Amino acid sequence: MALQTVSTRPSITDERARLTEAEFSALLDAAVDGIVIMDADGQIEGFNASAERLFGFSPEEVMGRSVNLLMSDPGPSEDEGSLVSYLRTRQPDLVGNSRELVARRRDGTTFPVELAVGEVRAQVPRFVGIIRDISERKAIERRLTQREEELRLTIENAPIPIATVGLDGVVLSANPSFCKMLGYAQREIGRMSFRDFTYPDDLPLTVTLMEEALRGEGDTYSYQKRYVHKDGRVVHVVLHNGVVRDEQGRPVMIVVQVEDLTERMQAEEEAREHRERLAHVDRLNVMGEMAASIAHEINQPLSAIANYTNAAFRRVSAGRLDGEKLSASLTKIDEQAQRAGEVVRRLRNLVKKRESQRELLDVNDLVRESLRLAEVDARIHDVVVEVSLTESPSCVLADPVQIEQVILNLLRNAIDAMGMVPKEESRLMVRTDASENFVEVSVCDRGTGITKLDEQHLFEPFFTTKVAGMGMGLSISHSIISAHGGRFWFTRNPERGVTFRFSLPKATESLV
Amino acid sequence: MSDASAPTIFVVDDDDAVRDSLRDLIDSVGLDVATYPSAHAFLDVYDNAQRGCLVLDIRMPGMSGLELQERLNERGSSLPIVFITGHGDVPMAVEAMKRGAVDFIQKPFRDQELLDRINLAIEQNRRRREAEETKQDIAERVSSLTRREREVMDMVIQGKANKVIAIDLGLSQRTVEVHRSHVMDKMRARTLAELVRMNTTLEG
Repeated sequence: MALQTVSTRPSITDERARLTEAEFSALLDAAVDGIVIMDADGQIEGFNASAERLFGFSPEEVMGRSVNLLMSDPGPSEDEGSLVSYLRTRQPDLVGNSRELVARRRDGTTFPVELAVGEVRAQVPRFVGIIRDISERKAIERRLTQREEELRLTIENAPIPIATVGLDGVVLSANPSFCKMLGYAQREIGRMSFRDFTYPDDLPLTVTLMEEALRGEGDTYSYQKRYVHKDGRVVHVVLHNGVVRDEQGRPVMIVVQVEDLTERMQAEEEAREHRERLAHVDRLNVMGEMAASIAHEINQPLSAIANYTNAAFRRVSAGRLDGEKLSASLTKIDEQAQRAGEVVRRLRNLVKKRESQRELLDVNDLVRESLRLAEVDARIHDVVVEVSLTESPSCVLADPVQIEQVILNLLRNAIDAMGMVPKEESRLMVRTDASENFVEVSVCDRGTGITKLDEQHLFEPFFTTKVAGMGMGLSISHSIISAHGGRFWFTRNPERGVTFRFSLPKATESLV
Repeated sequence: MSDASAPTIFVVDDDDAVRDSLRDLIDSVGLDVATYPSAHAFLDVYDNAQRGCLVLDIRMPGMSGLELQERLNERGSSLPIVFITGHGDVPMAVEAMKRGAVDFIQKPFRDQELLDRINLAIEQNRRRREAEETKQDIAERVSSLTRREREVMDMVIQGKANKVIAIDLGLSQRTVEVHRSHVMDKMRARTLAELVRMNTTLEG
C-alpha cells in the first residue's frame, strides 16, 4: 500500500538529491516496522502498511488525528512521557534515540513498542516515528526474569550445597547450604578459592579432575573428596560438577553441587558399631556355650605336657634318662604347648573386641579354622562332621573373624539341632561351592528341622528355640552377611533337617 | 600281648598326644603299656586271659568308654577299668562305677594320682586272679573224689562224727574212716578247718 501523505512536490533542481515519491513510498511500505509521519503537534500525516497491521487502523481513520490516539493512556499533552510533549520540546534525547512506550490498538488493547523518532528538517518540521512491536521480546524478557528468579530461589533454598567456581578456583557464588556446610559467611567464601577449603591430600585429585574437565574431557564429573570446615573438622562429600562454556566452547565456570556424606557416614558408622557390639556379645555368648568343649580342648595338650614332664622326672630320678630320650620328650612338650597356644589364639581372635576389617581371604581357610573350634563340640555331642571344600578359587573380601563367627554359629546350631537324633544318624555336612560371582558356604544337618511358625521369626534378634540360647546368632549372622554384600538363607532338606547357606561376592581376579 | 606274669596297662584314648604321653608316663615307672586309638582297636585284640588294667577315656568318637565297658562286661572280662573323665562328666563316671569300674580320675590330674589308681587296679586284678586260680584248684581236687568220698566229705564238713556218718550211709565206721582219710589226702587238707575253708572258698 502506498504511503498516504500530504505531498509537497520537490522542485526539479532537487530531483537528483531526493528520493522520488515512488521510491519513498516503496521504501516505507517495505519497512518491517510501523512508520508514522506527523507534524510538530503530533498530527498524523502518514501511516505505512506495517503501522496499519500493528494498530488495526486504516490510514484514513488516523490521518489528521493526534498521534496520542495510538498511545496508551496519553494523559494531558503536557505530561512528561507523552509523545506529543516530546515532539513539542524536541528533546534531543528522544530524537535519534529509541524509547519504550505502551501503544494502543484500534480495539483498545495495548502492547509494548519501541519508538524511534527522526526529525525532518524543513520549513515546516516533521517527525518520523518508527514503531516496533516488542511484545515478543518483552515476553521473552519476562520469562527470562522469571526463570532467573526461579533459579535463584531454587539455589538459595536448596538443601544441597551449590556453588560456582571460576577457572582460577575462586568462588563466584555459593548458596547458604554451601556456606553452612563449611561454616563460612557468604561474604567470606566469596573471597576464597576451593584450595582454601579442600583437604590438602585431596587437592591434587581435585586439580587434575578440574583440568581434565576444562580440557573438554567430559563436561560433568563426579568424585568423592574431603573439605575442611572452618572449625577444622573434615567434611566428606561427593561433588557433582558441570563445566559452563561460552558460545565458542571456552570454559567459563564450574557449577558445583555437593552431596554431604557426613550424616550418611555417621549413620553407617553407628550401624557398624552397633553391629560390631552385638557381634562381640554373640561371640562371647558362643564362647560361653562352648566353655566345656574349650576347657577340654585346652586340657588335652596340658595333660599331655604334664604326662611327658612327669615321665621325664621319673626317669631322671631313676637315673634312666639319656639325652636322646630327653630331647624327644622336650620336642613333644613343645608341640603340645604350641597346640594349647593355638587354641588360645583362636579364642582370643574371636573374643577380642575389634574394628571390622576387610581382607582378601580364602573361604575354605575360614571354614577350616571354624571347624577346628567346633570339632571338639561335635565330638562331645557325638556328631560326625563331613567336609567338602571346593577346589575352584573361592576368595572373598571379608572380615575373617565375623565370617568365622557366622560359620561357627551355623555349626553350633546344627550340632544342637541333632541333640535328640540317634547317634548313628548324627552327621552334619559342611560344603563350599564357587559360582561365577559368588562363593557359597552351606551347613546341612539331619536335625529336628524348623517349624513354619519359627521360620517367620528366625532372623529376628532374641528369637530362640533353645533353652539356654540368647537368640542372637542367626540375627547377627544375617546382618554380618548382608553387610558383606552377601545373602543368608536356609532350605529344608528333602529327607530331614535343614541346610543353612550364605553366599559372599567373589573377589575379582584383579584383586587376587 | 601275652599271658606272661607281668601285668600290662592298656590305654585307650583317641587323642594322639594324650595317648602317647600316657604311654610315656606309665613306661617311666617300669610298667608294661599298650595303647589303642579307639575302643574298636582294643576290642579287636583283647582276650580275657590278659592281666593288668585298662585306662580309658570316657568320651571318644565312635564307641565311647562306657560302651566299651559294657562290651567287656558282656564278654565276662575281669579287667579293672580306670576311667579318665573331663570336667562335667561326673554323672557318666558314676554310671561307670555302678557298672563295675574300679575308679575314675578327673582331668587335669597329678601323675601320682593316676599311677596310684593303676597300681590299685593291678593289685585288685592280681588278687582276683589268684582267688580264681585257688578256686579252680579246689574245684579240680573236689572233682577227683569218688561219689562215696564226696558224700563223706560233705557230712564231715557239716560237722558229723564218723559214727553218725557210718549209720547214715549204712557203712562200717572203719570204712568211713578210710574214705575220710582219702578225702583229706586228695583235697590236700591237713586239718578239718582247712577242709571247711576250702569249701567256703568254693561256695563264695
